[in-house]
Amino acid sequence: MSDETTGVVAYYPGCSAKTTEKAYLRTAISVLRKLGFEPVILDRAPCCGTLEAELVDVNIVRGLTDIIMREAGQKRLITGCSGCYSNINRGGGSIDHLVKFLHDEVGVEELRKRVVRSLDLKVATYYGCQALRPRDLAIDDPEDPHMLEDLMEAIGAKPVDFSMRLKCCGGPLTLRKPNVAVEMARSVVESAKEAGADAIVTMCNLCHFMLDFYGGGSLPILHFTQLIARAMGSPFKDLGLEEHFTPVPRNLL
Amino acid sequence: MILANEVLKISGQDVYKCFQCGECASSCQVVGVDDFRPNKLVHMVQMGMDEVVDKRLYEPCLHCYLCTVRCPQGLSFPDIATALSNMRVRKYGVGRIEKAFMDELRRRAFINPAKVAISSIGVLGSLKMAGFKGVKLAGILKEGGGVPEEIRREVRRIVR
Amino acid sequence: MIYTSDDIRVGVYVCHCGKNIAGKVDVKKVAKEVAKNPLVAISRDYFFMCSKMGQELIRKDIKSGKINRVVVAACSPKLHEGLFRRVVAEAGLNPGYMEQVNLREQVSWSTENPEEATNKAIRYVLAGVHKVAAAEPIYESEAEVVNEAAVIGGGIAGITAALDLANKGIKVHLLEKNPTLGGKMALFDRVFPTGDCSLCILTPLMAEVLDHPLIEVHTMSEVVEASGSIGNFTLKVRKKPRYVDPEKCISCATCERVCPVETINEWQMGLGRRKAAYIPFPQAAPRAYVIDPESCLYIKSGKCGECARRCPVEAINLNENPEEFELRVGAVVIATGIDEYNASNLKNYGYGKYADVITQLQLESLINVNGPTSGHLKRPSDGKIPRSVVFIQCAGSRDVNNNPYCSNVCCMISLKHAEIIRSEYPDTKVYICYIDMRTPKKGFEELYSRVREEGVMFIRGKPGEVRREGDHLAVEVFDQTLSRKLEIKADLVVLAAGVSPSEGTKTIREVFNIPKDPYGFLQELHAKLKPVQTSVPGIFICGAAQGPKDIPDSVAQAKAAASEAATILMKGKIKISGEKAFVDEELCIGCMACKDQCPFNAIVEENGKAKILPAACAGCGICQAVCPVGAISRKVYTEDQIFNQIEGLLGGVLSG
Repeated sequence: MSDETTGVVAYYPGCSAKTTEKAYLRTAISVLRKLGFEPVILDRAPCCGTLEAELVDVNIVRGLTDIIMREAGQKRLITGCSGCYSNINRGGGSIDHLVKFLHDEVGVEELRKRVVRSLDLKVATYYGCQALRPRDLAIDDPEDPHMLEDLMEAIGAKPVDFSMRLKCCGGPLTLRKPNVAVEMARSVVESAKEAGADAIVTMCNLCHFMLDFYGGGSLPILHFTQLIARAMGSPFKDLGLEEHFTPVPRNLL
Repeated sequence: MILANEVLKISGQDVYKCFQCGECASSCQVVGVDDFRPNKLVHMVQMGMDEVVDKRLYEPCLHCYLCTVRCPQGLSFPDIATALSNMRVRKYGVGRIEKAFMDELRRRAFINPAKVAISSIGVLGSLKMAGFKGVKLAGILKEGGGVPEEIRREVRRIVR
Repeated sequence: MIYTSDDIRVGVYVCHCGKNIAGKVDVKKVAKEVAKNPLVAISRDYFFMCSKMGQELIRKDIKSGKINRVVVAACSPKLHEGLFRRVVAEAGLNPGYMEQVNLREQVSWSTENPEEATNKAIRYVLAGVHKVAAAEPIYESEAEVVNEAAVIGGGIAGITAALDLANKGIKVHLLEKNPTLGGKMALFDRVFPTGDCSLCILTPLMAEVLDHPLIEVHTMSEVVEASGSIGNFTLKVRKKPRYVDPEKCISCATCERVCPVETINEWQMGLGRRKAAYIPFPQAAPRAYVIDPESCLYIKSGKCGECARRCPVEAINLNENPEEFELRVGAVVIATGIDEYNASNLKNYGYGKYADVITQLQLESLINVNGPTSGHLKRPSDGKIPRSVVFIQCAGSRDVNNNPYCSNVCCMISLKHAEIIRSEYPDTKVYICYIDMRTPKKGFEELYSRVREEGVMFIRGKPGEVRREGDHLAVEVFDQTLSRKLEIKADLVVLAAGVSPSEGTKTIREVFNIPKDPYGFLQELHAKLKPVQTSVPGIFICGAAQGPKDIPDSVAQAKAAASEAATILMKGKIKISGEKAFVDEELCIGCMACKDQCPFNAIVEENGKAKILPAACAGCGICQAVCPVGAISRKVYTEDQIFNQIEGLLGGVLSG
């Protein structure tokens, strides 16, 4: 049987999902399994190189991408990290973003049917940069995306509009201009708070780390897969929320 | 080597397309940081001013690509910044930060964000940031990512 | 090698074109080398073959009897083929026996190395010599012209063209797809640079058109099919029902009053509402009501019909059907115009998301007495008078993601609006964010100065985005003069969305097979010298359908198009060149493969054979190539001539 029919997909976690963002990897895998897929985690694959490698020499990213694509073999390749998504595609590989995969391949209606525990909270859906820009890598309309909102609405959460929704978390500047980076992460959280959100929902390893670690702690920062897993019946303790740097109240989900 | 030609060769970006509308600067989140302004740098590349590379004027660029989707001339400033950075590495070798990053990549084929955080804001800063859960960060420092040795060898060949 | 006679004596004339050719090509050498060919009787070179003296050289040689074929090696035949054909004809030779070889565009301008260029030139000339050896005579013919014209589009360009033609005594059919004449100009309250009242100057023209004995106005009408050729076109017109007889309607507004349906008013750029029974604007021409079938209850579902019952003059027939009719005309002027570019693509500026982000045409409607606020500037969200208005120039133009071209009119429209707002609402701040202010024409710079003196603030820099901040909007822009990012507080943001070809411009192009430019505007035949002609003889273009332009330019171009059309119509007959395709009836098997492929509808079936209509034939040669039995030959490019030409180019290798 082909991978198409068995539901086998290769999942590229990205470095952070094996360290600070383990909860993202766990809940992403859990959601994919609940939806009938058989995700194979690409444990052997190296780092995508991130922006740093590209800044040294664009060819390094191409070399790393080759290894990652080889490890994926013939399997459909997915990642939950926007940074990895961008780097691997720019390096000549082909990888889908988990948000687009769930939105387009599973479908919002199908997801809605699988909800056993509709959530009731206001979420600031935070896209960040790399899954929307540049245009040829955009999973959605770069100036007016809706996929993350669609997924959140399907599980009962209420998206709120906020001015930093499509802006940068500051991640790429943490090494060179930490003060600027921290200020940017905080401004994202502040803008979501002002808009009345109960939590920020992210779709990228780095965005999550930035907002969770540097964001000032005034709002819980959740991986979108944590909410979906919860809505599909995962127990609270399986979401890995205690691993976050910013505490998540027990009654939020 | 003419600056603009080298940028074109590395990134495919033709800086001469820029007509200085300034929409990149209007869209930029870090405009003004160290006097950074994308359209100014593009003009400097057009004019062949090597200080763009020598003084690392491109460095504040976030590579967020917001200017790219809006540029009326279809230019991608982040890709220009990447090319300038590549040119600087060729001219002067890797800098301190890049070296630390590359060393990590070479050693373990893997990047630990906890290390990145500590090297950017220091141990004290990190502890302050994460509050009493700073110990969590320290715990994560040990994580290695589990990339097998044969892959690490391959990565070492790429990241020379 | 094929000859048309045993006695071929070619005269070759190599033109220096000043330095254009001689600066690269060794013209003396070319003439000398070519002279060695046995077909060549005379081979000369001269500074300017197109000059009187150059022409005289050819005439003398022909008259002396030394030559009976001519090759002029000079510029592109597009420029001077007609001239040299006339020269040989004057000297008594059939014009088909002249062949022009292009040594300028195709050799001297496009070849870097002089030696290479010279060798290439020799081969090109020899190709011409061999080609002309197989040349056949060509003969001009004449055709009758229908002395009537169709003008398509009832905006200011179409109105002007129709009046110009009719005033020359030509019967004109003016077709407009909307219920009223006036086009975009009728939507303007005032026009730049003088700020005079738009309808005050437009209404008299519309009245003149309606009253003119030689102009027949067809509103609600579109051309859906066209056939025929210059001098004799047949247009199939589809007329949508108006449901109101404009002859009977007294515009008493009873229908409008009793109509229960309200819908969005497109004549107020979507900002106001109207009934299903409505009149586009008070000065509409013809001044008659119209029923909108999209919203009328009776037309949609058979309910209501109140307007028809209450109309005091029984002008309303809700069961009216569309009709089709045909027009026969000798020439067509297309003036189908532009639309404002769809601003919903400008998402970073919040169009469609924030009610107070509007386009220039919407602002025009807000300051227009015919608009939803009766000319009072009130912002759409809450009806408040805006205290801060920000204009974003080039919002949809000069942008690869939207329209790459300059829309031509937006700078002036914003300046006009800024002046109106500053004079009528002195407490309102006006900001114009721009890349370049383009004010090159008569009176434009003066308006720019006046507006600056009025205290309008000009910010050099294109904004990145518009956001909502509480009850107002914030425009984020990097001010390049201050070298600082600003967030301008705005109550109203006006986008210069720019213009794009109208729907009518897009469809009419297909009806008439007219080429478009890269942006969808109609393509003129020559950017400088043939600005209103198209590649289809007898079809002329004017106004913004040809490219973004303002009212004065549209009027000037409409007059040019009318003049060109009249030139054909007033002669009564037209000459048709002999450089067309011809069918050998003996060989034709009537498969009509040629008819299917002809892009100009120039081939008809007659008695089981293909027949070419010379007036419609553009001489493209496709039919010659597709004919399976070789029954079609395109004069001047017959198969024999082309094979000879290739042979000459290859230095005679085909004949071995």
